[in-house]
Amino acid sequence: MRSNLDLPSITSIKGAQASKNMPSWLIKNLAKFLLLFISVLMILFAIKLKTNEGQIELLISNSSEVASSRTLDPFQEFQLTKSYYHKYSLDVPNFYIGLRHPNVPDTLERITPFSHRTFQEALLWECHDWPKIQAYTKKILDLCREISILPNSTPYKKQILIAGLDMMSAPPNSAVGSIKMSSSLQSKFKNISVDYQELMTTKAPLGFFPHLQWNGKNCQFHNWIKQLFGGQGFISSVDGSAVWQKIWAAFKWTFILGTLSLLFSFIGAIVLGKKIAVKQYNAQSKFADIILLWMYVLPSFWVASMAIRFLADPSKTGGFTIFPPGGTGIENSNDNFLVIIFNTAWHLVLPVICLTYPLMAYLTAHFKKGVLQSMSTAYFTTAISKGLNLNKALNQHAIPINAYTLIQFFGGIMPALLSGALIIEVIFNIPGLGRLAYQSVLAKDWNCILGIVLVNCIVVLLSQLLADAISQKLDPRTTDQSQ
Amino acid sequence: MNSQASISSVFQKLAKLWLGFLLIMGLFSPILVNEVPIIEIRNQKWKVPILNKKSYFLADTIVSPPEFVIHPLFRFQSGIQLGQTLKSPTYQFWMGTDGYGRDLRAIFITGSGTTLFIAISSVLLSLIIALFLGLLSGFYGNSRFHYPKWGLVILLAVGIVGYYFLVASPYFNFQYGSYYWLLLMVALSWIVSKLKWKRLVLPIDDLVRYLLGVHQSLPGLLWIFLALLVFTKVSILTLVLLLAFLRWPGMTRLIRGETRRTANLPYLEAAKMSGLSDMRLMLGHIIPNLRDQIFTGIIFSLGNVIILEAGLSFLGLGLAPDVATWGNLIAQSREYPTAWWLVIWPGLFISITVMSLYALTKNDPILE
Repeated sequence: MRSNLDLPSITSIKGAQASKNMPSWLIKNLAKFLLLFISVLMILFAIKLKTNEGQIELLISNSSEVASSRTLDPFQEFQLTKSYYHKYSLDVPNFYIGLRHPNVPDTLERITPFSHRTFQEALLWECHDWPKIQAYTKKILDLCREISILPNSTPYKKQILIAGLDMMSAPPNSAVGSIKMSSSLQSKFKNISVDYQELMTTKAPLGFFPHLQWNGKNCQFHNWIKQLFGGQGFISSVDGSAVWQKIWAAFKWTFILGTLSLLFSFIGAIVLGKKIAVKQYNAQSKFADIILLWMYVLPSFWVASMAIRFLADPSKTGGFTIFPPGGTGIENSNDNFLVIIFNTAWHLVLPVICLTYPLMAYLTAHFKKGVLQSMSTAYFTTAISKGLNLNKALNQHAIPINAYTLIQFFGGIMPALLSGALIIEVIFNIPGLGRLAYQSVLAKDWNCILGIVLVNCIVVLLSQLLADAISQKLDPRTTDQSQ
Repeated sequence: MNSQASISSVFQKLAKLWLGFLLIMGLFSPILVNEVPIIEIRNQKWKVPILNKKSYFLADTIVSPPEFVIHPLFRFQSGIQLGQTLKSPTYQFWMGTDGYGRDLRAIFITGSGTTLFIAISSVLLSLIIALFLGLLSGFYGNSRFHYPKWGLVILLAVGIVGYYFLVASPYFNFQYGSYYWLLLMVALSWIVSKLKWKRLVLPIDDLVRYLLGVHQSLPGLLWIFLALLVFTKVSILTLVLLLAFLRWPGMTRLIRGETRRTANLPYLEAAKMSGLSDMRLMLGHIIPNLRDQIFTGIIFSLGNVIILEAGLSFLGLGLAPDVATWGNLIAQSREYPTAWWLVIWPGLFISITVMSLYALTKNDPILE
């Protein structure tokens, strides 16, 4: 049974007291923030481990050193690759602590590149004898070094070297015999394949219980975190530029877009929601509800495409040319400051509209519901019966309370806003975070995406924190949801 | 009031008609749209080429013309049809053709099949996850889920050691070691829960809310971007998994809330008093009561997933661009900005479908 008098219940009084006790509330929320942030960080690290292989290939192939050194022979290229693995600390264990099988050496991670490591690991599970495998690979490397020292005029030097290096990542190939080479080299190749046959027949005893291994700071996780927050070496895998600078340049545009559309959607929700709530039994209100539903349903990427097609059509094939079709309008920066501002604003009209309308529909519906609830309370009826006119009563007794509750949605709509901004930026060609993320996904630029994901995560979590804080500060009725 | 009720019932009827039309189109799309005839008689031999397309193309079809042929409604040619790319709507193709020269009507029919399949299967998958998590957290809350204290320790130890022996190291060298490990863990956790040891209260509700919080701390599209780093190629299966991953939190929230509400109702107290097990309470007494809410959740999720799938295709991150889906058509319109029919039709279909889905329930989709 719901009483007509809206007396505060016991739980909400408790909540009001809890909200006054600010420090403990703040600590609790900050702890939640940190927990979620660290969880996302761990997920990102897991994805980083999964994608290490492709990323290092991209980094090496796009690096300037490799591009400028076409004259390197395969062995020198191999050494350069090893140096890159060391530079991006891929030659160390994954985490501070780990389990290690007794037959596996603690230096297994130092074997780079990955193709060599997986082959030698497979060998290890065949014969269980690491020292023997080490001697075998050392023999191959010595042979390769010997070949690479030979004068460049040696016939088929490159092919021989490649055949030698291939033995690091695959069993010796009998096709080596068809390459012309000196008899001493040939006998060495034969030697190695004999060694391989011997390796395959040995079986050392297999250990059973794993050791717990402490890797200390020398692990990928530590180095990755240092890279992320120290800024050193956190570079785009495609063009080698610093990721945080790239993200900061893009973040400004997303910030402008997001703030504008948040502002307009909140103002629009309050204005529209009040108007619809006042005429609750009118045909106009029903019509407005249907319009709101359509605004909520129509996919923004479709509306944006339609808007570009019919309102920003420079080729004049059936559309108007009112708005520019995309971009930010600050290409030529020697214009007057005011001209630039006006031009940019004109470029942002369509994107902001496309980003705002679904949010506005969502907020308006919630605000209207709240206002209607307030209008049915006893204090509102009292205010009306005392002679206050409807508009004044609404402005004093229904709108402010529900405007506060609207702030609670701020944290919830942030992910939707950022998702929407992503698509809108891609369509309207605005150099924001979303377009950067999209381009990075297409170019497989992992580091850049990780940076963008972290920034988005911080923005979303902070906005949730802020929404909680503001609504608790302004509105003592709101209780802590977890209690 | 009467007139409004009749208007909404008319809308509902129209919506049901449209959805039924789509479903039939989707189900019978191989018969309606195909590149080979449905039935033909050649040299007094019956053939049903749609069942085996490859052998039809391999057979020499030019030498002897068939005596009798039933063609599908639209003859949909795979590959690029150079003669008829980007035709604006005419008498022959009243919806126009796309950049590959395919009739838009044919794409609409096959696309409705693909879209509905992806949407329905991903929503069902997310529903299964949501039912499991939502019922657990809603029914037990933070204070009623007991578990043997030492059982947890055993689970943790067996989990780590078992993972090491079954998955990480080559002792047993199973091909599907991780599945064996999962099976072992599920079975063990069930057995341990039956033990009559000293019990500990697990805050299962907080755990589920933590999962929801992690999911909510990133925009949905960025989760998809991250997933695309791991699965580099998008097939229908990966798309279904991705969309289910995006939808489970919403469904879980709905089911968790409704279960919490239901768990305090008198009839459930009575059932508890009569000594029913928790499993029977949940499956036999709570889920039937959640029928309407689950239906509403499915409807809204379907609408959401259809829009999401189209959005992904639009960005070029969905199915391959030559697969006939509605989203891929809008994506093509970015390449050919002058072809207005590539923008209007698919967008209309998507929004009408979503609106008709929403018309099936009485709840307001925005407030839900």
